[in-house]
Amino acid sequence: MNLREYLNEHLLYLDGGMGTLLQAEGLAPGEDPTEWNRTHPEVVRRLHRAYFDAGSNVVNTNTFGAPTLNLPEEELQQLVTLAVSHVRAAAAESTAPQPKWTALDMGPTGRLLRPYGDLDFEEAVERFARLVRCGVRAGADLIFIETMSDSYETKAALLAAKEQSDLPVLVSNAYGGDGKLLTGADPAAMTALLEGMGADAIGANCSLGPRQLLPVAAQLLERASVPVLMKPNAGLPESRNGQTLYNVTPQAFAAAMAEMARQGVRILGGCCGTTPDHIRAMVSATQGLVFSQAVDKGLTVVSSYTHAVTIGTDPVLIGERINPTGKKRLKEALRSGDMDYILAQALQQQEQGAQVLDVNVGLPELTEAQVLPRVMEEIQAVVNLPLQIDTADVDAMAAALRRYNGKALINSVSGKEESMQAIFPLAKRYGGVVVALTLDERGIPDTVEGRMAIARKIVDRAAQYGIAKKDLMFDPLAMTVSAQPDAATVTLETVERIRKELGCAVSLGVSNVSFGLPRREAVNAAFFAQALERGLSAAILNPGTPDMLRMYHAHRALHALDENCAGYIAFMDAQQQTAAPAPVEEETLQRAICRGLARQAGELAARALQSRDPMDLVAQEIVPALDQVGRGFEEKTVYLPQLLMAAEAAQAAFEEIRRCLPAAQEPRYGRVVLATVQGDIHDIGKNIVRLLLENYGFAVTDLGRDVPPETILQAVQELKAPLVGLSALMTTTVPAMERTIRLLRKEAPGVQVMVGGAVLTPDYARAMGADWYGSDAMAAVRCAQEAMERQQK
Amino acid sequence: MTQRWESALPPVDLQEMLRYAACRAPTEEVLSLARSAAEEGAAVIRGRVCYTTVPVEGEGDTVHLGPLTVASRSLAATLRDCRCAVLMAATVGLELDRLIARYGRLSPARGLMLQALGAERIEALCDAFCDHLAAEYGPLQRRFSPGYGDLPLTFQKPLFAYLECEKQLGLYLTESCMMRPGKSVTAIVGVGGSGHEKGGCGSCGQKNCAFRRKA
Repeated sequence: MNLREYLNEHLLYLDGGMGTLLQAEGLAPGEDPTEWNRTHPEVVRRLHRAYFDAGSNVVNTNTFGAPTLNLPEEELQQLVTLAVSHVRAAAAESTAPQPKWTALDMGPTGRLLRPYGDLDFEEAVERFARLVRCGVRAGADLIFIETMSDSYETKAALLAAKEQSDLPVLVSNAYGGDGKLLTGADPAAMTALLEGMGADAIGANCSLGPRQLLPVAAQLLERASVPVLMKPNAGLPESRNGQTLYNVTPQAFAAAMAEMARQGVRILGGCCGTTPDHIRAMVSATQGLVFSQAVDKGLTVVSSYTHAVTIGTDPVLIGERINPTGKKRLKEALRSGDMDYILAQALQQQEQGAQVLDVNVGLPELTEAQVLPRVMEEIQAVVNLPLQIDTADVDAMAAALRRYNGKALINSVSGKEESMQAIFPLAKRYGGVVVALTLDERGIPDTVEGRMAIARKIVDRAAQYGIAKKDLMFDPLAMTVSAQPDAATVTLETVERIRKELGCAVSLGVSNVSFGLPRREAVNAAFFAQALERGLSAAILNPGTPDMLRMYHAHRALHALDENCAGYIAFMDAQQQTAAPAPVEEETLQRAICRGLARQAGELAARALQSRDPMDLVAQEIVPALDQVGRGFEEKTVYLPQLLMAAEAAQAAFEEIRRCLPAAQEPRYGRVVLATVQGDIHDIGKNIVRLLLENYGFAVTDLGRDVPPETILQAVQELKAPLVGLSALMTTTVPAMERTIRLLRKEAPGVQVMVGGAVLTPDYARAMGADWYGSDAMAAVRCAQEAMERQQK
Repeated sequence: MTQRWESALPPVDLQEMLRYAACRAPTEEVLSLARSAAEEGAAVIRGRVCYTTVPVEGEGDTVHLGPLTVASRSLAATLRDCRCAVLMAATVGLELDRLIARYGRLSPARGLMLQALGAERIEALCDAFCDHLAAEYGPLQRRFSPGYGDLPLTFQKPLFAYLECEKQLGLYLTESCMMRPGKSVTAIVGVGGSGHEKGGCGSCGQKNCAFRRKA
């Protein structure tokens, strides 16, 4: 029987714990359980059979740990073929009457993915892909992805399963006592991600007992349109007389699982500590239970690696600031790879209330397919908002969606056949909510009916690709009223009709409406209010525009979307605070920098620049301040935090100066390439050095952390940098530093190398061939200054 | 079998945090930054510990900790006459790494303070856990971690596998044996015993260390 069909009509029973049973059979702690497929085949088969006899429909192969092994495919194939054969044999031997299936079991790789760990996403995908290919060849009936505690790794596993097979895939995560994955995702976020990519069922296993998992089950049931699975532990392990016992008996387990089934859980099993007795009791307690079909919740949802954002009646704000069109400073940042400026923009929008961030890096001179995924990953490393991937370049869209950690907004598709053919397959493969523009080969229709016709066409074509209406968000395009008098009314009516007739979400880039008019903010705010009134689900805007935000908060308060008007009040309070002028005491810029008052330094610089020459300000205020603090640090009267605060204050002043200089100021010194070496992911020391070097007028290219020697060499050669700064914190990564220096000596003779890091000493630095050793950040600045002087000689 | 332990942490010790930030005499501005970073960081921190108890045996420098074996003179000295040891792993979670990364890029001063907070918090967590252990087991030896003395950092690998740190805590080891989340500790804690090696800054030869505690 077909598993997918069976699942529609029945509760599906999984197996129980395997690892704990193998331990009871003599598996030693730390011993590889998959080895037992070979060394103890009779034990493995007996345990599988016991689960079938107890009533399990699905028994997992003993391959949970296979992704940690990273075996070559031939060896893995032998293991998987054997493991599948054991389950198959057990199914054949068991006389229990229920339909039986063999699931290829995949646990985690045991490694954390980048950016916080060191396993690359594609490497993780490949590890799982290898296992899936082996499972398919061995004849597995379905794939069971389980015990995943990281959303990104779960995505890698599911992507591999979907790309390498057509088998049904059940996906199960390990939630902690706080109802989240250990890396932060909540059930709503996981539901969005996994359903978006086409999981056949989703759920939770391990970590907790059935009672503790009830809240997770409830959240999944509330959000999921696919069947929900639960495979809890038999409670928590307790140590009694040197023996480990799980504290939930088969009867108690069965009662809790029956409760889950009554609430709507459709797939039931057990994890650590559960035995065939637990499964038997569970099957018997749930036999004949009337259950409800999994229903399509119809939610339009995007997600990040922590949470989901539902696009429905409560309007969603999409921050538009990361888009270089018309933004000189952002263009400059993108060209020079200045990620910090972009990250600051992302964070600022989050603080201003954006719930999703649009990310667009379209500049003619950049290769978007490379830059967009990189910028997206950098943003995801520090900002937990869902992102809207915004590009007209299909390759860039594909690359970014593949590596996005969550379910993204896809900006955009249009009614053009070419666009739909390019974008819908990507949305199907990677998941996502697609922003659909009501325009096609003939342009943007002037009439409501014309735009509705395109919208309907898009809905139909999307359905052919297997993309539901809930995963479309229309943008009926706000046109300019000064050019076309009925532009706004047509758009507003289209908003309303799409919401009512198609039931899809609608968003608008609001500010287009007012082009060419004075005091545009008045028109924008009024248009925004009317669009919200007509059912607008989301708006792409600058969250730093107070008029729009006021309108948004007022709308929510008036429509009972803001309990106790708390959001409105908090917003207005914050407005008042930022409106108040910064407490500028009778300070000089120099003194503000010394004290490390960044905001004051910025304001004082801005004020001074009205009457003083920028270079004057640098020479008479900023440099003396930096010198004073730097000397204090060297004399040990000033400590590191104050040094850094002063450097940041100086940077705030520099940022103001930069604003009033016509072109990028020529740096005082040459270029320094900085990197934390391969294998090392500590970067605060390197960041501190960078900040100070920039303060002292060096042009700095920061390659980040965990940087391979070849990448450093390439940067040195391309930028013709005279100086490289390398940082390593751990004894284990010092060899990578030595390798880097050797490579530079060979391929880039003449470049000077400065090293630093906790485990280094001057002798060590000399021994590995470095030219300079910086014992701390100020020392690094002095070294760099001397190095540049030496260079000029 | 690995067990888990969680507990609320004591309030942040600002002096200790400033010590980790290499700051002996904070200005008013530095103090205010430290307070604000402590508040922001503490809100995302979630301390988790997993542990298991193993019998200790040894001959010479070889130490057997249940099924794990390692050669280390300094560990052997620490565990001398201990009847058993607790293998532990603790972390304050990935959210703090995310905050540190965020400010490491945008405000290194705040990033530094959050690093310092993480160091103070993970120590506080380990201390709280060891107090809990001591209440059950009686006197303990000082926590001894891979990388201390001659106990190799690579001992992290079998220790991680044995404790199942990934599954229990979401704590991972990189290829170069670094822990992620960064603010984490693994350790071996001897129960009973006669080693009583003096711990703390006083016993360390690095007299100029920026983090050295005042006598």
